[in-house]
Amino acid sequence: MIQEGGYVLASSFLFYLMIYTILALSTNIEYGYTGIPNLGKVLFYFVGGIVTAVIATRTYDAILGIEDPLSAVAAAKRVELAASEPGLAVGVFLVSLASGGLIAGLLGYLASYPALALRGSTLSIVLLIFGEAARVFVRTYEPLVGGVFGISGIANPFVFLRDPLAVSTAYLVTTALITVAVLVLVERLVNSPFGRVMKAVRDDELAAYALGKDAASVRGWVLFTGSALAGIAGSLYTFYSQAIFPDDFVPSLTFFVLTMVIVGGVANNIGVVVGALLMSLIERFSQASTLAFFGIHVPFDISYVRYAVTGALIVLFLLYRPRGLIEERPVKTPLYDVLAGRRKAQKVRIGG
Amino acid sequence: MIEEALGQIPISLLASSLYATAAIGLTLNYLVLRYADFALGEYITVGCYVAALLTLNGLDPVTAMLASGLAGATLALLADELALKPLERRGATALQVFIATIGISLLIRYVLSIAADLEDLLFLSSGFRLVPILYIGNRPITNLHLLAVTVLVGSVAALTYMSLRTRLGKGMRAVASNRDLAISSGIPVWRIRRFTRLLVGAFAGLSGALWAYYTSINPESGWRLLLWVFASSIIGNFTSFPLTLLGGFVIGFSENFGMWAVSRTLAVPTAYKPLIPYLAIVAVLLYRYRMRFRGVGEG
Amino acid sequence: MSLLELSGVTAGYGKIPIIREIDLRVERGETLAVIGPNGSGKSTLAKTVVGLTTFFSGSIKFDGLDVTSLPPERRALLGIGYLPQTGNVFPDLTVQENLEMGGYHLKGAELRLKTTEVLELFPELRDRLDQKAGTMSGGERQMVAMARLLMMSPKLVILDEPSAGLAPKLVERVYQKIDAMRAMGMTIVLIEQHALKALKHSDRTVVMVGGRIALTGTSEEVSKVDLRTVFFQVSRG
Repeated sequence: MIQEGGYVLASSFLFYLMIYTILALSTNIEYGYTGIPNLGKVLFYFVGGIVTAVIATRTYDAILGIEDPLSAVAAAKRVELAASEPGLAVGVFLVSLASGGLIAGLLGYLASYPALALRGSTLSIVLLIFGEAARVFVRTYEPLVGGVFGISGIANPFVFLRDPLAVSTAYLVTTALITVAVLVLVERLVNSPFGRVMKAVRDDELAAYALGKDAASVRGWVLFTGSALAGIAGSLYTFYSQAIFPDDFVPSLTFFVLTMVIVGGVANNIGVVVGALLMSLIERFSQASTLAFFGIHVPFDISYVRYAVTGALIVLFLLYRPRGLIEERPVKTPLYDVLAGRRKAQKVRIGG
Repeated sequence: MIEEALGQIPISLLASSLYATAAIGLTLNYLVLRYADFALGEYITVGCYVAALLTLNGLDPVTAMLASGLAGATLALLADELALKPLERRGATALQVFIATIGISLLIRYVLSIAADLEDLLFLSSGFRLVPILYIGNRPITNLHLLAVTVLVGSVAALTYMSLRTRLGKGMRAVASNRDLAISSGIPVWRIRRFTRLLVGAFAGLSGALWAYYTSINPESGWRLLLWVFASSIIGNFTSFPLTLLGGFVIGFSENFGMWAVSRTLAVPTAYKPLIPYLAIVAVLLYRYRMRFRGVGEG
Repeated sequence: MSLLELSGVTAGYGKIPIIREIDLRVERGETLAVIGPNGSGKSTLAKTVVGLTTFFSGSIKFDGLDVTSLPPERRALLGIGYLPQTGNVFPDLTVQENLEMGGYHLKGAELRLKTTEVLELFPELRDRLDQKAGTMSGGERQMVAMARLLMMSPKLVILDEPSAGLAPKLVERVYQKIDAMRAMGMTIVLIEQHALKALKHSDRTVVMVGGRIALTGTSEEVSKVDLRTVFFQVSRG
């Protein structure tokens, strides 16, 4: 019993840690490397979830001919179908993941379009308001994903394994693989000539223009990528909880993730992973369930502490350690390795 | 129908006055001190609680409101002196200062939440008694509406007078106009900074008091309002006070009057209320963007 | 005692030193011209005296006081007046208000008196008092800038390329004002691209090349030197 409880706690902690890692990495490429404070981060996470919910439910509903998609009966039927047709389940999973990422990415690019020429803080506030507006819309317009009560029966791709432990483990491993893939991708992105351009736009936009780099288009691409990653995270989360509730997607999450970058290491992806770990621990220890487990009782809602600490960390780190715990390193393009003596310059044949 | 339409005017007026008063502070802070203060919402919330608690204990609403202004001013000054000014002195970028204000906002809001939870004050109604004065359509203009408009007009008048006639006020404009020159010509920029922060916090605190008189409050009240205050300043492009005032009214009226119109004509449920002001911002931004674009094309 | 004394000053921006080991004196009542080719550090020298650069080594003494570690606002209050090349007025404020900001530390009657005094020197501004400084032409703005500076009753006036970007007629006007200031006994440091003008309107001259002082002497002496050989010498590190 305790083993099971322990397993549930540990696997849930790990899963959220990985989701946070993806979100934090996506924030890092936007804020850390390119200087865009995307305060609408949770919106793109949400979009990934909505797209996933829509695809996952509508597909099964169409096959099963379901009339009342919001009912518990419908949810059960969907899961049953997914369990008996693993190919379908995995297919829906992959399509949702890709679509969630793509649509979130496109939205990221679009949402910043009219505001691309605006100052950093204005852009970020507009994105934050956009996120809240979307949340209000989705929680009110029931036909989309069930309004405020959400929709359930979004079948995890591994339900065919039947045993809950196996399903959970398989999904955890899959998420881990995806997280590692994201980390590798992001590292490749920032240790490339484009990575240098990102930093140029962050540090000295005017100089970047002088070098022929269009800051607005760089920001557009970075927002596309960052939002796509957030969308993928949202998709993964939705299959994990097998349901979606609009009120889970609030601005506090954006700030929480931003803190991971500020504390862990601005423009340092390993640092950001450390930041994600730290904030995940803080979250875990400011939950009522954890306190109950240890038999501690406080006379107020403990989750308040989580955000008070988040705010304090932001201010303290900006004041005393603005680069974060693990600092930024130079962009590691092949040229850098040559200069550092780690690689021999390749001879280039010119002309012909 | 007309009755109802006219009836939307009082609430729109109230909301507009509130947003505009706080937005003036937000824009002022940006113009003089070069950062958008995300923690403004918390100065509003503090104003809410001070006004609510004082009126519940028998103090008259006007004095309580002034106390709210004082509370907001003090908090704004403290936040700047303890965190934001040191940050700038260490060479932080405007973006980093903005992020810091987000941190301050979270810190104040959740410490306030803990305190409110401990004292069982998570939801609070003030001791303000609403007195209808005259009816417009099917809703009344009350003493609160008069108070709100007075606060707005008074704030604008005071700010205008100060910036045109007093040395400190002109100093604010000088710093906003050319900060480097102000520094190298011996103008007391730090004193001007403190003065600006007091004004910014005061405007926020006053708005908070008005909100507390209108409805019940909680630690998130200011934060909820902040988005619309920001929207008002965005419409004012963070540079123009008249446009910021207009922004406040665009948001206030679109939120209430606009919502009523849309729900009557298109049968849109009122739960969609928060979307209306958002559409207003998008419209303004697109308009501005196309204006810029068109200008480039003709150039 | 010299009004301004720089000893072994090395300063620049960020981590990069621009001017190196500068030894300089400015005596009360004299006008010192600082000339040199583009990028020789003339402006940096001016900004260093004012306190707007990164200081690496050396010391600055003003009126007997060591001001090396004082921030710009304190130095301004001590009497170091600085007219930057650009951004030297408050564009959103009227001419009147610009003058008032110059005389920020003066009270009512004192302020009025000083304003009258300064307007004697700049009578052309009398009709423009309510005009926003930003709407004025380059030459007129330069007048406002100089007038604002004089409102501070500075002990030392540092003019950073006051004639830059102005048409010849306006350059003449600027130099008329400078001559008037000299006649009043003011101590002036005149940074100029326009070497000939600077030599004609100053007492002593310092020639800067590559961040160092290449030549000093009275303006008369320096004007006899073929400056091309001085300007284009290879800088020694």
